[in-house]
Amino acid sequence: MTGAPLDPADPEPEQPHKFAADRFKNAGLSLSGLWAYYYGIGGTADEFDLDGYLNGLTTLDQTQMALVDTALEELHDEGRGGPASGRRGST
Amino acid sequence: MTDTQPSQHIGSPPNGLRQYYEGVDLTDFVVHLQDLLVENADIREFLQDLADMTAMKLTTEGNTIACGVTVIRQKQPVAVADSDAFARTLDKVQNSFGDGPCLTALRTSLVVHVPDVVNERRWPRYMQAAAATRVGSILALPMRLGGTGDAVVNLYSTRPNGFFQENIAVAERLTATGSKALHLALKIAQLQDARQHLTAALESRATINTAVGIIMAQNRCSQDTAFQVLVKASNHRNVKLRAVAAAVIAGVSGDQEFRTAFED
Repeated sequence: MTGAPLDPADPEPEQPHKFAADRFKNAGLSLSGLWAYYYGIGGTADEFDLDGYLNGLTTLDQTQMALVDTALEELHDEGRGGPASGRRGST
Repeated sequence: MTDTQPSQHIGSPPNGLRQYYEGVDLTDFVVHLQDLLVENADIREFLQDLADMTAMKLTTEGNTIACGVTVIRQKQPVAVADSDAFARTLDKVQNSFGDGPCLTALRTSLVVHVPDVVNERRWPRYMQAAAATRVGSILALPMRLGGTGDAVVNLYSTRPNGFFQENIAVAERLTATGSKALHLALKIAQLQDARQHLTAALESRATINTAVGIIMAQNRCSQDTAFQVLVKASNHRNVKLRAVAAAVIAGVSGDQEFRTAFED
């Protein structure tokens, strides 16, 4: 697991949402799938705010951004695919 | 797209066929698709039956019609179902070229008709490969799935001018009915997926919030700080956040169940 720029000593990426947005796009995940996972690891932003964040329209605080990054990372590790790809187990 | 207008090429049906196609009854087709939905069949099985039944309904004496279904999966066309090896081969050849009548139908959402493969000037590379098989004419009908997915029904006749007004109309009715049923099947699958994800999320969130509470009490810190402690531990150890949280809880309660979850 890399990603999540939490340590204040880490150089802050200029546009953290862009990094997350690119990963989200490339992963082929559904927004609701990402939101459910992010909510499951303690995220507090709603799906609307998450959508806004990924599109650069709203910002999230540092903890929430770190949780979005963690969700993307863990979903990537699980190899969970995109929407409408049939019925399959999700864990 | 002018190149998808088939009207001027449509031939006449052989004697007697007009009546046959006007009398084609779709009741059993509809009932069968509904049964598949009720039985909770998977999408591939559903499409396989759709291909088989479409080919059967359209085939007449002297005009054998094969059917394949191609869907877009992770931005790539994939042949997922077919009535026979003939349709499978033609679908795969087309997908390997990345262009052809069926993929054009998929991209433009318009019906594409190739009355005679030998005289077709569009998609030259695919037509050259197709002409080497027994295919005489091709009809591709996009499925309307309301944004839940992209799919196309590919029909292949062994004779030139194997598709004409009457059987094109039947093919369109079959595809429209199949599309509605597939749309419903995809919606059900999406809802089941979403439900599974939410159930998993609720279970996981309870674990993580408990761990955050423990860290707050132990470190006398804010909720945000406790989350950051968890995220950092997860990153550094390359372990899922939920597993780190379970380990924190186990450390306090000695709960074997949480330990097991962590060791997984």
